[in-house]
Amino acid sequence: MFDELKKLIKSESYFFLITPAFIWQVAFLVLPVLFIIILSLSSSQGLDLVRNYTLHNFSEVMSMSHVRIVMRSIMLASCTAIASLLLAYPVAYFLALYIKRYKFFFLFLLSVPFLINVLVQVYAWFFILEKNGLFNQVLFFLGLIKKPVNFLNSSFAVYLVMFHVYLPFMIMPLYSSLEKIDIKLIEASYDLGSSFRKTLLHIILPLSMPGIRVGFFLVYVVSFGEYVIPSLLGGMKLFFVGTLISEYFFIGKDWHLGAAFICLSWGMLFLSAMMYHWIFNKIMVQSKIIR
Amino acid sequence: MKSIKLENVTKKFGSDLILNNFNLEIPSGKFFALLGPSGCGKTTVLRMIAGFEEPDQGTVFLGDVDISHLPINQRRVNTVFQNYALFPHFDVFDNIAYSLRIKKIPSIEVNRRVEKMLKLFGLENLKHKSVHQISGGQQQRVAIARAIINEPDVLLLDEPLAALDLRLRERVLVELIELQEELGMTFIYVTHDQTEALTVADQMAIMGKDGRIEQVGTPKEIYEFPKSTMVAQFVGSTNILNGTLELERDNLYLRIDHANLVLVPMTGNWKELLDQKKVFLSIRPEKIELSKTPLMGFSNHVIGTVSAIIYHGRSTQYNIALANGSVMQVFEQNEEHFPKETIDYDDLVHIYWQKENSVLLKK
Repeated sequence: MFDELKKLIKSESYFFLITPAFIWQVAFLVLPVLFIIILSLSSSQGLDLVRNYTLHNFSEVMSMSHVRIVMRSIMLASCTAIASLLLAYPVAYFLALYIKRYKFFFLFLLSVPFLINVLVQVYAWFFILEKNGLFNQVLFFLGLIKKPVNFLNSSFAVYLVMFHVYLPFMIMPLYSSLEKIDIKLIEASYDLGSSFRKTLLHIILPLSMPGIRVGFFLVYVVSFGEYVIPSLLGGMKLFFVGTLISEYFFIGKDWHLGAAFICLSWGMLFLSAMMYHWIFNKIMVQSKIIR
Repeated sequence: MKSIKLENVTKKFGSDLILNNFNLEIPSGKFFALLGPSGCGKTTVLRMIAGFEEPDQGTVFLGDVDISHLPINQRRVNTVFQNYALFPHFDVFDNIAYSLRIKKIPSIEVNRRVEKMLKLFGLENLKHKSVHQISGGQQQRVAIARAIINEPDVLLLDEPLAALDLRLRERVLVELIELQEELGMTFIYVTHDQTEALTVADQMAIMGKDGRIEQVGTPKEIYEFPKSTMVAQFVGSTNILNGTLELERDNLYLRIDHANLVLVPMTGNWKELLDQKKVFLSIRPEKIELSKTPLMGFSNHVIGTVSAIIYHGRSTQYNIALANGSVMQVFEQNEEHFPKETIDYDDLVHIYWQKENSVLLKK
């Protein structure tokens, strides 16, 4: 198979297949990234870029308060990704391995959130979380609160809605990797004397690891830079990476500091993602060791 | 080493009745083959013994113990799956060691027993290879080693040769027979391939399309003395003649058409069949003698014309059309490069067989 792949790459006639994607990536990913890096290393006078590259912007951005905002986004992204992983795994598991009839109906139900604009979803939460909203009424009815609480403009609201919006992004890759597992492997595990817990740990978990990784990083990276939910539900004072960037670019109009902050958040995102990558590798190694 | 007994087992999938009041006894320490056409429910029988399915009614016994509803992982029964179901994220060694490690057997003991298995199956050099890197035949050995390392009472083999090519299949069959003799374990081999079943089995059972056992016996009993036309036709090839029985001066005849009477053996339940409207006679194609000139010393003789000649290499199959329209198959060994008598299309030929070599059947 490897040889065939080599042959395929060698034969230039196939190269045109990747050119559209290549041009797209260069135009909308590589060039903007280069632009941001140039911005972060320069300053401007009026509308002109000063070609005098310094690390001045970075020294200004590297403050405790900025790092704290990035850490807050890392925390938000981690919690969203981990919580949705924990909740999505059993759902995807039962859908992929147990449900035989109406599978496509359930898959359709799970993809309904994709059909609804995030803004609409967020505004729906407004009605649930506001002072006279459903949430307050239920808590009041249960006697857990005496006075209505304002859940809006809090990190609680941000975490809750992030989790809700990103859950489907986790289920889909998990489902597709769990569905690929040959049911005979699970039967073989039981046949060889294994319990459900050990089969889950030593067979199903490592075999679904590709889906876990894809789902986790998809949710992690996207929710790290999330702008809409924190800005609508987090209130004016609670800054996350996405909201601070927009502050620099559209309100403060200091593109150079904004670009430097973007570079800082990239670096920290990369480091934290590497950490999770390492953790997944460790889990993979551990799950192969049967104790 | 234990026997298996299924007693009055009924199994439904939705509204499909797969097994109805099914009974089967599998002797301990034998190589037992369960043979049947696809979709006859033989795999369901196997899955019930393994524990993947539970009977709706009836009982499955392992030895004297009722295991009908015992969880899979508590049965001392292991399976070799059709496509082996090797764990793709484990190497050869870890696959074979899996059941021992699950049982928390100390690693020194695990190593000793896995090494023994690797040696038995000639896999020593492959122990740290991924299961994707080894050939189909090697994968199959790993699957068998993984299943027997825990020394189960019964080993189930679910069409284990389906994924192998013909040459390899013949070799593995011999190896399986040797392995079973060495271990003395009860092997249950499920297949739809009659050659495989005849080759490996000490005892075999034929399952019909309706999920019933048609016949149980040794391969020789099944082949030479089938109890129904289904068995006769499913195991090997055969010619089925039908007609009514006539008793004349202590001889029993089958009237196959108005002109032809055929002598049949007076064995088994022939008396019950006397007043039947239609009875059947099975004659194996290799038990028939074919000649262009009349021969002496045979109890039966019919005449026909050659309608097809199919060359198989070691033998040639002739299809002979009889006067009543039915066609008989005859196998002739190709003993010589230049046979004295060549038989060609449309030749008028004589067909001879001894009555003892035919079997009278009720259905």
